[in-house]
Amino acid sequence: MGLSLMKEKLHEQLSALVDNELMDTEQALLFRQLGADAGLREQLSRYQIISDALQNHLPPQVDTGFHKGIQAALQAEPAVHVEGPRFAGLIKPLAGLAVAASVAVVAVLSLQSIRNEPASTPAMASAPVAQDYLRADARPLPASSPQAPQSLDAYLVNHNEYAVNRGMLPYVRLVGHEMNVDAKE
Amino acid sequence: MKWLLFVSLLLSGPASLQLAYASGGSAPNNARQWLDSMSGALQALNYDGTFVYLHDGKLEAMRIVHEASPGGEKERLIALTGSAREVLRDEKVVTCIMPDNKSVMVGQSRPRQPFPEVPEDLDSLSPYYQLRDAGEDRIAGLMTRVIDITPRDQYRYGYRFWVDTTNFMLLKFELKDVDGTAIEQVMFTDLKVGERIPPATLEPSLTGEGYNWFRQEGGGDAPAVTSVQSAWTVALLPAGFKMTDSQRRRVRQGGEHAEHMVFTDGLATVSVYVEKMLANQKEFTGLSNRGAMNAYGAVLGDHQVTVVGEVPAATVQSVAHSVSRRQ
Repeated sequence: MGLSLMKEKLHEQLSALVDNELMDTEQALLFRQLGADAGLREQLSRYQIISDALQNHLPPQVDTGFHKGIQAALQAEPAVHVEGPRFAGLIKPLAGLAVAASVAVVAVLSLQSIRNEPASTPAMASAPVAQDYLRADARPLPASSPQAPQSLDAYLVNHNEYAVNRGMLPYVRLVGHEMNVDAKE
Repeated sequence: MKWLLFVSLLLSGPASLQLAYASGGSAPNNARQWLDSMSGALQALNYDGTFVYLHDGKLEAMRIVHEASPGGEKERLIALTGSAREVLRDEKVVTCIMPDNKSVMVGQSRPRQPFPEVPEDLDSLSPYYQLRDAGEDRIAGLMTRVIDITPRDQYRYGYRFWVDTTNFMLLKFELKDVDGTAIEQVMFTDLKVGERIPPATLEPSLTGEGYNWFRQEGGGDAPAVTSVQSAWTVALLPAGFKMTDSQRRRVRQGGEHAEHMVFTDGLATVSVYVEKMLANQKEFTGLSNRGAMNAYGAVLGDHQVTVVGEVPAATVQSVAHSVSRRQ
């Protein structure tokens, strides 16, 4: 199984876990992986919060660090007990609180299906575009620079206030973006 | 003709937006009126809602609180997933609190204008976009009117709005490629409208103590910004883009003054920043993005050129490569 397929499978299992639909045998294996993989725990935390948001069950103060609680519990738990009922008990309240990450997954799927839809837009009228502009566009696009400077956010904040569609909408991108904290100027 | 000026001022001010909202009984007649009503509702109503933001296959949850009072608008945006980032915005400043890198950035806020800003008559948009009422749809059990703005070339994005038919709130939003592919989606999952906003809800949850603070010029107590004629020009812009601002300001911490030029086609906006590089400054070259907001960096002699905008990557790239010093 390729790495990406494995990752996909793991995320499916996380979603099933939040839905309380994971088989016991799978659960044991997933818990082991959760114990070893901080990224996976982070993902679980996100699924929980997002499904909660979709279900309107969000508490006034969201504890975004609660996956750290899982981590602490896992570390305290001897490895042999990971598959046992005690750990299942630990996860239960979380699953009860959050439920239905599948809603979030459905939302993602619906976006993907939109991406795959054939263009439904009517035939484009040809807009008067400068010839030079078309030439410039022919250049191949390089891949996104992973080391964009942090100061880019300063430009974006400044730019947002000049954007036509002002208000908070453009800031969603700033708040929602996973910043690469390692990128330093 | 003075009365005409007065009427047009009245119609373009927040009072008219409040009226547009208050006149909920008479439904908007066309797509343009739906957008105006939505714009008014976003500005004139109190609301507190949770929404999800989908981009690049990722999904984030956020909360927005908005208060409209005689003193002006106040709003707060809070990340519910990942790092607890926050943006607070009022009539004067916009404050971004970023726990990831322990920084607080204070910028100057500018009054929000009806969306789309420039053309009162849609005709001036039509060479570049098509505006369409796409009928009704149900979002979270609420009836909405779907309004589409479709670009006519590949240099700008399209927009789709789901507007609540009773209070004109925006319940769902999509940004689309020229072929109709959704790039970003914002959808409310919970929304309270018209209730009193407790003041504490608009206070930041983080004090920013021990954080690195930076005030952009014009932000808070920082010096004001002056308009200038830029020493730089942009040769290639998609048709319909016109310059609306040209200023000189310090945008980023520790940076030189940047020349900032703003171009818009009435819907999409592109900013061009040209800044003299410091000796130890790392170059920013190539593409980067925050969701559908694209940025392109290029180096021109000892100057850093940064172009940002809610436009396709090809557009920011072409604009960046066409910047040159004014002869």
